[in-house]
Amino acid sequence: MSEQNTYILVIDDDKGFRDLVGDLLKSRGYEVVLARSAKEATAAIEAKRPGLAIVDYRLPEVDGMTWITKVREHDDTLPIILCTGNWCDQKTFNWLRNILKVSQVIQKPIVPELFLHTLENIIPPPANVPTAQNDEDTGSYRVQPILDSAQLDESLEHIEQMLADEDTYPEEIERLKKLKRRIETQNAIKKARDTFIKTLPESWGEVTTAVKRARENPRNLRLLQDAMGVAHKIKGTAGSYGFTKVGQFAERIEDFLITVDPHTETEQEVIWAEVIRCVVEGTQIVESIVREKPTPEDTYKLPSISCLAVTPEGAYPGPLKGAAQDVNCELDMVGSSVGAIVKFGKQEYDSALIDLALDTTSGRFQLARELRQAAKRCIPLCFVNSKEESYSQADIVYGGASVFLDGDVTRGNLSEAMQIMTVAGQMRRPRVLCVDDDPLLSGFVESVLLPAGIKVRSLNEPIIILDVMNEFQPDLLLLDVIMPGLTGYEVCRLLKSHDEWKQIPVIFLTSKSDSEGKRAAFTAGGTDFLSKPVLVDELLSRVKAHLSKTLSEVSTRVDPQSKVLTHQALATECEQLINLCGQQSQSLSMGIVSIVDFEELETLYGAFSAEHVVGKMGELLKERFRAEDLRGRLEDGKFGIILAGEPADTVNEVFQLLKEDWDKMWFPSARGKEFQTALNFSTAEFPLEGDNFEKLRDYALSGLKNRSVLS
Amino acid sequence: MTSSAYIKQVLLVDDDQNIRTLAQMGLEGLTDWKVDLAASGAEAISKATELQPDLIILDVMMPGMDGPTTLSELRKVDSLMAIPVIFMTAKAQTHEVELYQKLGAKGIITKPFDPMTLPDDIQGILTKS
Repeated sequence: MSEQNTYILVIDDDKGFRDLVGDLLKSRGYEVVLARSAKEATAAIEAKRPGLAIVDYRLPEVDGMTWITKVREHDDTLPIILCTGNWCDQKTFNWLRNILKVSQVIQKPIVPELFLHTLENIIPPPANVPTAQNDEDTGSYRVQPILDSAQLDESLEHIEQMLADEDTYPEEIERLKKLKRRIETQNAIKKARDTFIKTLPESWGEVTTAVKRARENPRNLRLLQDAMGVAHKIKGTAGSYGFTKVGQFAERIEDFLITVDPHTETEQEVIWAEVIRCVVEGTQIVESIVREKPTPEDTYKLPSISCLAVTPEGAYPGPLKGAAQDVNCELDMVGSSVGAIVKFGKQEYDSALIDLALDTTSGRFQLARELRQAAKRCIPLCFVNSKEESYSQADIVYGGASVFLDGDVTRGNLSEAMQIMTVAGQMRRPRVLCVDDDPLLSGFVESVLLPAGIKVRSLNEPIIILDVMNEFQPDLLLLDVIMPGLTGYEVCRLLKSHDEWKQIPVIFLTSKSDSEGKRAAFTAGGTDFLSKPVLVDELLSRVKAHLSKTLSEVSTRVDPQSKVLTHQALATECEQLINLCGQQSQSLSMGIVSIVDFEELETLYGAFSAEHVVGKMGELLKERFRAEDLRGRLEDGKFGIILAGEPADTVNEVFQLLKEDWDKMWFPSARGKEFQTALNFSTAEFPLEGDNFEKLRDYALSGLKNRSVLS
Repeated sequence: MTSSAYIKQVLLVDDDQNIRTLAQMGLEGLTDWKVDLAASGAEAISKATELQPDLIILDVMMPGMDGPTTLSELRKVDSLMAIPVIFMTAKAQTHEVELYQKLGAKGIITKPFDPMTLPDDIQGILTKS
């Protein structure tokens, strides 16, 4: 190995920074020269070319970028790290990366541990200091995790669904098609691999026989060459099918056989002993592969929806069970509303079907409300109007019916209802943003997470992460550590410096599974890390674990007080719904409710009264309306609700019902007496009164103002 | 993954059926290339004459006519002379690599290979040369 240049030039006009970095580098055995200005730096470079230069963005007289530009005129390869106090914009970043060929951009203040980690990836410290270990897992085969996955078929099914889905964006379709092709190929290879396994004992048997014959006739050169040939062949074949170990043993057998000399006796026994050992160990591996493989793979089905049907004893159980079978729904039945509430308290159901004849609780659709209270979430509902009473559309919407079955109940319309509820329950699928410069890995992540019902977006250019975060609103981030120009650590630090994204869990994908790499991941603010190569099961279970934590506790998308969407999240979701409604020429309405004199509440009724009122509003909004409707908090005492497919007239009636519920509610006051608050509301309809979220919101807000002036 | 504009037809020569299957799957699955197969050097020459492929992938160790011999036979035929050839081998010591290049091979794919990256590996060799 050639002599490594571990001489580092640090250029910064801040003495504190120079000394810090200088000491840090010296502690790792690097040779360091410090420069205060571009002029000093140039002199230092002329005296001796360093292995790396660390340059401050802001320098007196000649700034960092200008200095680098000058250096690049005659030195195109010197690795450079640029330190900057401000996050640079995409244009500057691209200039730094592509024109000035800066290796990494690091934000000040630096975190020593991360700084060293990044730097040691560019130039390893002198040999006497322990460095981060080589990351290659011994002998593992890159595609293996994918090949071993039993979930390829499900991934494919899911992608096909997405391709058939009309609201999949055109640019996504191209990507999905490519992904589909990859998965199909992997699938085919996996099947070929299963076939190959069947022939593996026979092929290995040939090796055993050939070696045995050569061993028994030590003077026969042809038999020796035969054995080598057979071993050689299986080395290439088994290895290519992903049986790396088998291939390795074959390789060793071949290598030992080459050293066999038929013309002498010396040391031959030792060589043959090694060959036999490899044959025996190889046989054991082949046997274990064959034992494991032909067991039929567990047919893993996507978790279907579970549903509690609250129906009168003996009413349409046949159609219900039939429908559940048709759509793979886990059905449970109960014959009274009290029984339903008890069941919901004990067990989690994804949805409920309520025969209104059984809703004996006082108040309209009260059972639905109580079931949602018991479930502690906004489950999709289906109402069956078996007594054929008359209900207005507003009643139905406000009651929360994703499906309303009037009249005859058949297996057909029940299974349709269950399907609609399944979709309504999945409206808000968890989202994962995968930041990685390797499209292969992002493709792999997609193929694993998509079938689990998780939306995935890949980002190959980390510099635009903030834009993508705002647009995609992910619940979790998968972040590659090593990326050109910007390490995952830097990206994570950037996010954690924004209030909006402080809470988002970040899982680092790292090829360094040593303790130093782990520490660095946590120092940078990571929640967890996964070592590459990433395994299917591990990826899925870690992502799911962190998602469930996020979605139930703190999500950047959920307002902490009311537990409905934040203004920003509501806007994003609303835009998507508007797109969908636009395509299908459907109406959509937005309603805004405002708690009257919200700003005065604390003064009048003491601390926490406002918070309490907001919490109650959040609860009410979730207990009422349909699962697929969007609920969000705009600001203070103002909430927005978006209802697809409904004109403003209906929505006005719906809000009248909400107001009636609200007017019955009393809130505790720190002053002792309970109090009530009034509610105002106003609506806006798409596309008449606005074709995007902002216009609809502003229209409804202005309506609100007019009303309060009138009152 | 990106299929090159000028490759349409590939001839893959290997005496091991398992390798032929696997390589063909990778190539046809991930690119728009048409992949035809030959199990021996002799078959390779007759198929190449018939198909006029844009690329030949040639196993080195084959019974009868081995890879290098097949290559020199190909080079003797006017219509086949210019077709780029890539060797596939489990043995790739430096002197061998040099030898194959002298024979006129564009490059070498080492066995074991990864079928999912095979198209990229081939593209890499073709762009480099």
